Amino acid sequence: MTRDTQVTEANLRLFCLKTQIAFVRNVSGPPFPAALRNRARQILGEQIAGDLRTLLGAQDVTNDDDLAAYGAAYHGLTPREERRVGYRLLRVDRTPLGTPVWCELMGANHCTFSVCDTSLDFEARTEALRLLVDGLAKPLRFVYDRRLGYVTAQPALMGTGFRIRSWMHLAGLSHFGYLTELCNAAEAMRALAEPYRPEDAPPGNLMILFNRFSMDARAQTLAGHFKAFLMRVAEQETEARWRLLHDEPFVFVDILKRAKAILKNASLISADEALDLLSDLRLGLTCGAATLRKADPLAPHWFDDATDAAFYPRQGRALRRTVSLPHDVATFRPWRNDALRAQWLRPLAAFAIDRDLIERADSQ
Amino acid sequence: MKCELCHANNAETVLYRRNAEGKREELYVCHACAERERAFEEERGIQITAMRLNGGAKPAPPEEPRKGADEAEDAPPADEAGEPRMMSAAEFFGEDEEPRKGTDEAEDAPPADEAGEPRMMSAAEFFGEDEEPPEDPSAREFLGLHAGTPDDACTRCPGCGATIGDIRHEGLFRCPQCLTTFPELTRTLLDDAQQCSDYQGDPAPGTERLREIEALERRLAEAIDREDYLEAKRLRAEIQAKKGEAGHDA
Ligand SMILES: [Zn+2]
Ligand SMILES: [Zn+2]
Repeated sequence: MTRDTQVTEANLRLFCLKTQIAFVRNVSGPPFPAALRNRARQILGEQIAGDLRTLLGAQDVTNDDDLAAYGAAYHGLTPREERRVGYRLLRVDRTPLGTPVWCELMGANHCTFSVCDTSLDFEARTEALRLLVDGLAKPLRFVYDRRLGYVTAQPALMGTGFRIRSWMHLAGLSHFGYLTELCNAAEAMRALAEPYRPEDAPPGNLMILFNRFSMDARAQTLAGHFKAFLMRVAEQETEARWRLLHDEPFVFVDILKRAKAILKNASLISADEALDLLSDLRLGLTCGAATLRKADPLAPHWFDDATDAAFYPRQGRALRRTVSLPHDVATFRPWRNDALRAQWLRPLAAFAIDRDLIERADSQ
Repeated sequence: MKCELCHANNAETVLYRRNAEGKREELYVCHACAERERAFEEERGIQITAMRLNGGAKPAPPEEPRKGADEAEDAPPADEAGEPRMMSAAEFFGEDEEPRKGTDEAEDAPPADEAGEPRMMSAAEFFGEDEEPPEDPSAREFLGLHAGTPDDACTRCPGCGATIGDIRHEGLFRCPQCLTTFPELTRTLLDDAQQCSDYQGDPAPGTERLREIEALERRLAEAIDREDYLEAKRLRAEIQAKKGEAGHDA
């Protein structure tokens, strides 16, 4: 991490875990899903899924159990428990974007096309995805009005049907209690921010930021605005981390030592605790306050893999074959996953805390 | 590790089965237990699969129970009339813009019958066979949307049967025709959500030319207003030329 504003984008790369770019479209003809019976939703879903298989060579992965579990964390897809009757999930592998495009059919005529990855080239990727989706406009007959753009059930998505959202790790702003300000600032900058899990304090200091308007400009322009907003957030986050590092070495060292102790010794680590530990470690590593040779917790998906839904299929199942757990723990699923999660995180305890920082903390 | 059923032998295989709640569960068991379990489950007509540990073939995951296969007919429509699951991004929107799914609507929403029970379409309507819209997307516009017809509390949307109250209550349109049926409400909802009710995004494929012509016509009117006839003449020619390209991208 650096303080030079010329390289804010490099810092943004450290804070922005992933970004989903999505377009919502409705196929003309039937009413929206809410006004349809289950049977109609199912038939429509299957029909459009069939069209997408033909038009895009899409693969129907609705019944992929593991994907249903980690798709929400990895690709921003609808969580399994929120899938409605007639929901279909399709994946298009060969696309100009280089990453898979996901087509979600929300049980009827409502389709979402999305990509989700670590790229910060929002504008180019938005345009590429838009062109791909536009190619479907004629064969699928999307509902479009010249005065309103693409018509959807939700007023907030009307127009371009464009949604861009970024998962951000904002440990610095969170430490100084600036997340509320961030939410206000977001609104002023035509975006919105919400904690990773809305109901309580964001575990892992993760926030989801997304564009608020989708009607008054081209999607590519909206993506550009959003990027500018993220750059501002990155500046603020850099500032906060810098302040923590320089003004509060004592606090910083405490954060790291605690994390180290838990990672090293805990037998059960819950998802939320894991997210917080990963957050602390990531904060240390990006500020140069900690170093770790063996593992790379800055790689994408550490946060994703720690979540309850994704942990077992992505990490736990494989571990379970090698790790032996006490009987009581192994047969009770929440404990089993927490125990495996502790094992999975153990190698991260091997990080070293910067000597200079410790010295500064001691003399504070 | 030990077999999860007998806790005596070593685990040799993975067993997939459905537990009492119908959830899929994965067990590491010995061959003997796997055999016993399989025989037992087959008796009950439940499909289970097993794989060998250590480099065995990947198991074919048991088929996900068809969601809704059983819910489809007997679930009350009100249940589903909750929220169309837009994208997981749907949670983005604050409470003012989008009612939280299920909870309050399910209780507050008037019974489906009263609310203009979502009418089941005929198969033909459903697949749009007899109402094939013309190919040019511009021809499918919702004419009259900006004509400013006053919304009427008794009017039901011909497309879905919703009243203005239903839409206001849910903050969601139920079908594309709702927008034409209630133009005032549409504008209000869009102004609230987007601070804009006039689309300035990417034109749909095939409508760029129409848009350009519209823009030129606006400029022509302005030119005539300020009596700039030279400019008007030039614009008129340009519009004619554009119109001449008919079918080029439509
Ligand atoms: Zn056994
Ligand atoms: Zn309607």
